[in-house]
Amino acid sequence: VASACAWSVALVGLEGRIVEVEADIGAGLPRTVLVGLPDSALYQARDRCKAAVSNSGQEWPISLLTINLSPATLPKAGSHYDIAIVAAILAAQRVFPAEELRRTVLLGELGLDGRLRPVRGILPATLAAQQAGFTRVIVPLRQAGEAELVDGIEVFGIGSVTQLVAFLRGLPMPVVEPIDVVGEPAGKHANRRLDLADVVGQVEAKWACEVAAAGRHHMLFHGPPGVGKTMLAERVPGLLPDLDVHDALEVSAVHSLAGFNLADQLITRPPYSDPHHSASVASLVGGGQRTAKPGAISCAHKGVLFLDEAPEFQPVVLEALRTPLECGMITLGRSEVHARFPARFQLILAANPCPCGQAATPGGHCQCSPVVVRRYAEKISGPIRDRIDINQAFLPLRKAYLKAALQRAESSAVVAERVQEARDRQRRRLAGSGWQTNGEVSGSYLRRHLPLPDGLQVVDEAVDRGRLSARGVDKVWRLAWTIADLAGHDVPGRDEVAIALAMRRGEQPGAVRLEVVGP
Amino acid sequence: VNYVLLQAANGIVVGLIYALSAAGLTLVFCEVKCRSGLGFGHPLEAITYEKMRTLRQLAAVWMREHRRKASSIRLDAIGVVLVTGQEPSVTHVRAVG
Repeated sequence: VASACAWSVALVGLEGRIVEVEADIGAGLPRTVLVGLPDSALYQARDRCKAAVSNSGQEWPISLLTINLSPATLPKAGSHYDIAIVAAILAAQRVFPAEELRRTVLLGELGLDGRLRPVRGILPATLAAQQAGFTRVIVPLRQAGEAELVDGIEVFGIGSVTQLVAFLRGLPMPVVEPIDVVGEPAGKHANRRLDLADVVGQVEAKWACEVAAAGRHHMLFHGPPGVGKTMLAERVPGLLPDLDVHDALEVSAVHSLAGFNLADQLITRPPYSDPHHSASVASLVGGGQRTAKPGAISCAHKGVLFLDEAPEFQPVVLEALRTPLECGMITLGRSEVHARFPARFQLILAANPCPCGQAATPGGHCQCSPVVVRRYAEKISGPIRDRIDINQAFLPLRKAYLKAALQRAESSAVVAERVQEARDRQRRRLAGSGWQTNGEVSGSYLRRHLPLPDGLQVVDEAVDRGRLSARGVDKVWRLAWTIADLAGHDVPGRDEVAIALAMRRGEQPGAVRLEVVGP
Repeated sequence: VNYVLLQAANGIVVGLIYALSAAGLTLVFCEVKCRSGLGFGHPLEAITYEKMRTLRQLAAVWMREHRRKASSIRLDAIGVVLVTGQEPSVTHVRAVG
């Protein structure tokens, strides 16, 4: 009768909890029992581990083998416990000293040949191990780079059970062909280097993007097809400054959990996520049966979520965005756990005015009946519209304008510089508040701590006429601050508030806005 | 522990023995499984839930027929590996059913 334990990590949302894997070799007919709320993928670990151990030249105990994953009440899912289970069993058989497993977390799935397969969530799991005071983590060889992104913990990459045994016995490790990481590389969009100068015309919309990027405001683009809504949205992440270390770690952890391949480096550019309009609620906000996996909104954390053809999304999918838009995170309740994922994304919606796309477009011939046009617009509900800071209309380009616009197109780099300056101003002003940008600041903080801008009569008037909700007032206020930050003013004045109100309501006060656009 | 062999049931299936022994006041019914190699797994692995259930029923029948009484009964299993030219290896696990 012998027993030993090894340690692994259970991920609930982004939080990792340490799981103790106990193996007990007791008297009884040969049987392997796995207890401690495993899901089906984990329950099959028994058979995977047995084959892996036998094929690695080790013995599977011929007696009653009990494997317990504790805390027993925490539901556990996934295949990454395999290597910890095998380590506990081999330690119980004294294949290597059980003390070798102390203060060590093991992560990885086993193939039947005994080789270690990469798993998702290595980065958040390693973070959890480090925070729990563990000094060493053993991961699949090809994911050692990802685990090494965490400071303050020793990382060992191993390729197979034979290598693990040799390593823990202090013997030279045999050569094993490691299994490569599959999964879409993360940060693919950031490498595409899209330039704002590629978009012809749409000077006002570009400026709206600049404001949105500077203050992290949500936007709604509406206009006929083919005027550059999608092109412009794709270029917004390029205007955002690099992520700081804390954000980079958090964003990388979410991507690791979602199964992206981090390729051994942190994601330092703001991510971009553009789910297709056939997306389900679960794919957008995250989901799973017993536990949950992050969705598109979490993959856009600290970056941009672009929903093209927003009215084509199922209404229930769009409505699911309401809470995360407000609180910057999503809590998914499942039968056994509540998983929390960060989701502080910047939303950009794009919509045509009607099914044919020509309604309210100068020179366009709309074929749709007024009822159809109204229905189409209603697909983006009031509550969602109310959470949008900037409503930006796109107009078709005239030929003459096209020519003129071509010459003075600004590149992303120039705009990004102005955005960075505006961000610096915000950071100085909001220092110690916990927020970094105007778009995130809470309404109460805004009213209490930021000096009241002049010229609020414009806003009051709009409220009185029922054109602006209480939330809308805060939105206008935040926008005004961002516009002032971009213009280099310390406090927003009457002009900034007027522009902010116009942007919020999607009006086209061309004259006013062009004044600010001027270089 | 002293075991007294009370009865051995042989010949039902080749290589399968039901042995009974009394250790103190405990009646032990034992399933013995023998294999000539480990190519198809250890003999103990071949002792299934169904086999143990049969043994339990058999124990009840045996006790009724022999009018035996005991303070407790126990079901054991013995796995024997017989490889030609090697010492037989015997594994005895107690209280399995």
